[in-house]
Amino acid sequence: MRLNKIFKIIKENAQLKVGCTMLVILFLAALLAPVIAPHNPNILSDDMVVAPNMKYWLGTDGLGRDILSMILYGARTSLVVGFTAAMIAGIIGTLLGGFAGYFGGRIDGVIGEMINIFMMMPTFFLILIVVALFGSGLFNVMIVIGLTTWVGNAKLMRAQAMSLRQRTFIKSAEAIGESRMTILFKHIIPNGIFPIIANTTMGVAGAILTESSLAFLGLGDPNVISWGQIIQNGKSYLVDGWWMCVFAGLAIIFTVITFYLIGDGLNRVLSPKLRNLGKEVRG
Amino acid sequence: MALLSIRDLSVTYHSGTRHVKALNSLTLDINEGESLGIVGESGSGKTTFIMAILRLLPKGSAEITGEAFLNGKELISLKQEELSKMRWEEMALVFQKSMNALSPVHKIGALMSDIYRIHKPEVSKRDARRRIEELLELVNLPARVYDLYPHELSGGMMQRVSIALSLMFNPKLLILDEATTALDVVTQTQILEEIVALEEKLGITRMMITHDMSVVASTCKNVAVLYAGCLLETGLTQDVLVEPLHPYTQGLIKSFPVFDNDTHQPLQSIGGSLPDLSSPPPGCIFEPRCVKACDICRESMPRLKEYGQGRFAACHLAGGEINV
Amino acid sequence: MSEEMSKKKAPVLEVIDIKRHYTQRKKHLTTDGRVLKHAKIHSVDGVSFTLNAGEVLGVIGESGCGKSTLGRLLVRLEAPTSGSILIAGHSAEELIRKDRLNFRRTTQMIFQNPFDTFDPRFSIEKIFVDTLMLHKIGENNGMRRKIVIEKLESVGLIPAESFLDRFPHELSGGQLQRISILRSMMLEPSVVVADEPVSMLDVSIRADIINMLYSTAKEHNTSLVFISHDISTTRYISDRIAVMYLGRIVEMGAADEVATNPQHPYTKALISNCASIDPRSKHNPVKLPGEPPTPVDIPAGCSFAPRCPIATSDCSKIGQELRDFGAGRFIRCMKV
Repeated sequence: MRLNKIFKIIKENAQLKVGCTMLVILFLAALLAPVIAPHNPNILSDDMVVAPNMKYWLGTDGLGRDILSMILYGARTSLVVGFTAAMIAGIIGTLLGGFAGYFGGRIDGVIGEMINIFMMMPTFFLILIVVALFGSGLFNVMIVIGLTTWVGNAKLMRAQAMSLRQRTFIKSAEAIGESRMTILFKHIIPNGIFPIIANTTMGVAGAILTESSLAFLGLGDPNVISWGQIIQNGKSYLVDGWWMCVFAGLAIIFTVITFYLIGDGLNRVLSPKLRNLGKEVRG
Repeated sequence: MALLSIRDLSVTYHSGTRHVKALNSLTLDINEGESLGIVGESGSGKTTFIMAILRLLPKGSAEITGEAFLNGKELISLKQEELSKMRWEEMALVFQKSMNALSPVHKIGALMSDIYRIHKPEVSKRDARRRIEELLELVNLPARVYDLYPHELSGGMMQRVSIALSLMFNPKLLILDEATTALDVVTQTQILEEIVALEEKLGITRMMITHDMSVVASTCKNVAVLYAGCLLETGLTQDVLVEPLHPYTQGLIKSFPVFDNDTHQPLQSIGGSLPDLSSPPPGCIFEPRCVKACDICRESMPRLKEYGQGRFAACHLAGGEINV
Repeated sequence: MSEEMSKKKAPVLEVIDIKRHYTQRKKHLTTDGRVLKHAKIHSVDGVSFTLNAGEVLGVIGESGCGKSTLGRLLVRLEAPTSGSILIAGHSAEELIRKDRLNFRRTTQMIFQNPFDTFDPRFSIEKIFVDTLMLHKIGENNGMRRKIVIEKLESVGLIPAESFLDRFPHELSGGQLQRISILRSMMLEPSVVVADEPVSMLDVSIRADIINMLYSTAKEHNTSLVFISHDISTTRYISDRIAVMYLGRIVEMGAADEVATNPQHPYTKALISNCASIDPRSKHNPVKLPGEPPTPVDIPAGCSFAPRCPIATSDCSKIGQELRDFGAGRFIRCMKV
């Protein structure tokens, strides 16, 4: 029943339709990479800097690796980093924002200051420092992106919690005897989560971009294939090996657009519902 | 000729496969100088009715059939340019929560003179200001309100500003949509008194939409009772509210706690709830909740019949005989 | 009346000089143009009364009088700034500190907006069962479901099974409010506070809810505080009425007495402004100058003096006490 409703909503919204289709393509590319990749992306061959042809559809890089295969495997890296980092940012932001907005008082004051501090920080440079200090493994990258990009979610959730706090059903839950922690996790967060879902989706795109930037700067994980890494290697071949940067760049653009479309579509779908929540049916 | 003449006005909302008949063949007349109170609960169609004659319904999804004549001019087929002239100048509306109708960042005086000069662009700023001050005085507001912001006014003052706005171009018909519902009972009585006085002074005809029958009882000459989009009963207030013909009106009156009596008359609800307007019952629209319903009520929707002296009721059983 | 009262045990609810003040962070603009910084809002400014088991107290007043705040204080959704509330002789503050859940069982609230009283994500069954589980009523899910079905049927929500799977947005205001009352009564509270329980419902269905509240109070011997701005309805359901103005009770007494023979000038004005639906009845409403004030910047002396038709210069100077006129009648006015 609910699944049908979801499909219906997707079909009705142009952004969601396109975005979800693109997402499916991405997922399939990442999932089926071992099956559909024409070559092993890790094998260095003698066909170096070959322009796109029948054997290598998107050409090869300076070390003879097939660009298409690398891009397919790179999708995995991007998706894993994107989702994990965005989830971390989402969870931290929701919890901190929820506590701040619902409990108010000193808790709100402390978390508010934390939000201010993180807003002031140039997060990208913080990430650079952390990576420089602790190493550039994928794990570190994901965690640090998550730990520095939760602010937007926190502000959204805090605003939601502050307005939900005034709703009758929250006061009713208190009067019935539910504890404040229960109310926060059972009522406030689930009812206020919608804009955070949309924001987190866009956050996936942001995380993927950040990871690609790090890889481009040579600070990514050298053991995994990453689109940013492809571009970094392809930097030196911008003129005679244009296909390296271009196709990897296009992959990044494709992915970012996917998540932005989904996030934007979600926002559009969820806003009218948000406006109608709790309205009385009079007149 | 009646000031406002409604003939078979119907409004159907279309949304996908759902068609909701919010207003069903409304027919009534308002004569000049005779105030009308339209009584209805939620879903009665009273707001749809106002929006229809003011042409404020969403164009795509609302289908309007029937006619509405204001001083002989047909409203439903009116073109866009004529519409804006008609609104404010011949027919004006006072809403319920006026606080939401005015821009919070502009002072009252600026708002009012803006509206004034849209309709009369040739008027100078000074003349506009004078007119606004005239209007404020008319509604018993101190002149300093001209320089206040909406949030600095109380609820009663806000409603008075709305009334002043509506009177700006001396409309013939003044529509008040639950205009005093959000006010305290003392302020409400005062404002109602002032409105009635203005009505007599300026020769305006008033139509009040409300769910509060006591307002109608004390200020309106005629009353019309709406239910689920249908007009069930209409006539002189002193007739309809004292000896109602329609079972719905009778039920409504029994739901109001009687204040003057010393004895405790039991309050009675009308059982059941509003029918689904996208698939209304085959017979009388009120039949599912009517205590007097019988077979004929389930078969056909009764038409409005006259019962003498301008009294109309849509009920097969009204008047003590079965009407077919 | 007073003999019966002395025969009963200690009153179920005792409210002693309860006050609730807020400090406004924004600047406040008074009606005569002065600007106050950090104005103190005296929402409830010293309210005292007692309530016995099964008694219905109606609290009437216009907006800004503090009646809704009083309701929240009674149910402890907010804590008073000063004063105390005793439930069956025990301090509410102590009770809630020792056992919050148990305190919640003793005082319940019916809210004004039935459409927003429940989390829109939960079905009716879940709403009831969660409450039962929270308060450890019923030993297993089967028993709890039975209790819920029984309760729904007892108020005419039949067939009960069909209501269990429905969500709040699928039900009407009347049905939702009945469910709200049922849920609160399931906990067998000693005191129920109803804050404008029918003002958002259609007139033709209000009677059911009013009658349900009344019979619930009388059958279960539960004390009911009925807060409303509608005097006629309040008179219909209440044993006693308290009239509030600017955070204080200005008149209190038997419902019929206060309604037909009001003594305080404010009560007189309120009652006279009640219109009836009989177009033949003539009424002479007392006019009050000015607007109902907000509880900021309360003048010295009698708080009603600025608008009172019989006020003299003394009234603005001397603070007024609630005077006992015997037989439970209290009036806060020195002119009476």
